[in-house]
Amino acid sequence: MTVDVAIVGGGASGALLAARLAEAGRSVTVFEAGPRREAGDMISSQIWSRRLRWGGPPVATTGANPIGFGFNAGWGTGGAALHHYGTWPRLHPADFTVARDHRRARDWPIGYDDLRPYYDRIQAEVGLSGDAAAETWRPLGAAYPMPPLPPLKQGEVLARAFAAAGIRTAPAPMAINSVEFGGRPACQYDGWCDAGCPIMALANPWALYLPRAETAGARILSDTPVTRLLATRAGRIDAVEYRGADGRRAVQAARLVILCGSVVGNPALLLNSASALYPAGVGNDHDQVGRGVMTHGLVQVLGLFPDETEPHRGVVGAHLISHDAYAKTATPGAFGSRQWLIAPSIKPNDIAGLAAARLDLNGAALDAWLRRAVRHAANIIGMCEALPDPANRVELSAETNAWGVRGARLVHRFSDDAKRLYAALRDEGQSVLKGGGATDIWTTPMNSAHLMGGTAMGTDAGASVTDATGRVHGIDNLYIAGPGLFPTAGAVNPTFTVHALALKTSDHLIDQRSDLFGRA
Amino acid sequence: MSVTRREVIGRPAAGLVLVPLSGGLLGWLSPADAAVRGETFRTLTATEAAWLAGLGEAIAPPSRAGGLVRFVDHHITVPAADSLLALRYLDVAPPYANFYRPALAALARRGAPPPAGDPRWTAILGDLAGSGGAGWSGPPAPLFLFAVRLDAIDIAYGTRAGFARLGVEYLPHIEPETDW
Repeated sequence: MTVDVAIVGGGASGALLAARLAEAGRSVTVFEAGPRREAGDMISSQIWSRRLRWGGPPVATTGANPIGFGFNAGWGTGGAALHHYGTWPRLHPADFTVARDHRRARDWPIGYDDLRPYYDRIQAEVGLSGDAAAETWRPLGAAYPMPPLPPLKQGEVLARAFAAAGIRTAPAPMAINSVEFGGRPACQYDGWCDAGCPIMALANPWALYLPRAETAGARILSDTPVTRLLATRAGRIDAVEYRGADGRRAVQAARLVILCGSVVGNPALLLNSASALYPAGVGNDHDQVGRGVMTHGLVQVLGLFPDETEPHRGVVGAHLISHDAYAKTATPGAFGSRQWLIAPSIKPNDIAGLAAARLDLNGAALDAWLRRAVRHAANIIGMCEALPDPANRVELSAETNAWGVRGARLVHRFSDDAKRLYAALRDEGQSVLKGGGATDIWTTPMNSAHLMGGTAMGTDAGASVTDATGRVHGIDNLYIAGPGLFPTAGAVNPTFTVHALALKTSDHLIDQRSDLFGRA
Repeated sequence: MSVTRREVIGRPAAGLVLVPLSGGLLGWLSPADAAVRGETFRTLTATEAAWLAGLGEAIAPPSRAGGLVRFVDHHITVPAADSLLALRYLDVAPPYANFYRPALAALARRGAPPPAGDPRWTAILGDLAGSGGAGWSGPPAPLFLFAVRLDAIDIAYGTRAGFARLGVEYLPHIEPETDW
């Protein structure tokens, strides 16, 4: 039987599109490569949380500065959004016009004003906590529907440090309930966001859009990776080929196909779908598929303060934020935006935990330091922009993976500008903590967070993969959603923008593409 | 005791290990309890296990009694998608045994691991932070050290008992039924 819509990937954008299209009366099937997740899977443990990270065929991460795919990607219904931290700032207007303003990189085919109503609708529906007036840098938009999260002890210490340095801060805009909202409870500040939030105070896909999709009749298949897109004539996809939970290959015909997989998964699927019709891969007539993958450069600065900070309590994203130096040219000697995420909760263990900050300590010395740190540590995350580079890309490896298709490689290096932004953040962070009274200060090497690009939207079919609606150039019924669409990435966490773009695409499909379904 | 198929499937996922008990029976134990009883391992050899235990103890002393070796042995044996090792974050291709075992074998070529607290551990950790020392083979030594460090800290400080050791409230939404 032909379905109206086949959605590949059950993460943030797939869940939203499934809910909206099913509620609009379309027959929808979601193909999720990983297992079905439920609230009971979100166990409060950094160790157990690793089940929520990528568990599919390995992705080879390479290049001068490899991006951590296993850390960033998700595994199972809910995708990476199941373990995301709920930090939801908006992109700034200048993030959409880097080429026009600075003759660098490329512009978005839409501007902030086009996306603003979707940001507003999403935050009203999902619920955001924050203080719009305090974010003096915030683009125009509706006020947040909930008051901000409290700073807690760590945030209070760090707010004073930033104020002493003359850097403005504001409560972070968080997709976490500060009060009961939408039938979901308020946050308890127990610091397990990255293990998944089973009480649904954090707006992961199981808090909102996946239940809505199922209620509206969408069929959500787990353990069912899509391996190829099938086409018998140019300009149209007929069906998706998938591997069922029993390991057998099967085909699902669809009137509309939407790729909502990861920044690696979507290009890999397009490239693996090469055929006589599409010899270089679907949507890849101009060698754009997979190119321009971006991440955010990241530094963590930690210090020990005389005050008790209770760093294990709070939310993992941030309690405070600063965009005081967000402008593209605000950092001397470097180009690009940057932000501070202030007072994220931090546990003793794990790759971003307290102990990971002190690779120089072992044995009794590590034990003694940890006993101080769990009471007196405070930390800040500096995040910076990295402009797209065509050489940073997803490509196929020579080997066949467990799904019977060629595996994926992710090649990446940071630009010199990104490295300079990292250095500026590192130095500024150390200065802020020192001025705030920290007695011992540590910084991490340049790490990465988030994956964006690789299937960029644009007006020029020769320099992008999709148009402004997410439709793949030259193919009438194939769309892409998710952070892969970003032509540039700004320096803000991407999930709010992912939701806003997916909502915009859903409006387009519901209001303007009834022709796809053979009825008006 | 009788062990059903459902238990065999479910309990390893909950971090319990199946071990022989007296009278020819099988039973489920936590990895820490299993370590105390000295049962054999699923994948690691006794020599590899001894080096892993010593290395973990040199980094995070409570990790040995906490069951580091059982933890790693179990999670390099199960399918990668079920593994709870921090190695998942480091984009190392499974099977994960192929990451740990050559490195531990390289260490084993030095002879028996020094006892806990022996000053030779300082030199060994220093070697691993660099080239790995003479005769090193396997994954890059600093990456191996980083992975074992994350494992040892998980077991020493990342469980409810570990939090308690540091005097930190655990504050779970959903309490783990087992540590791993």
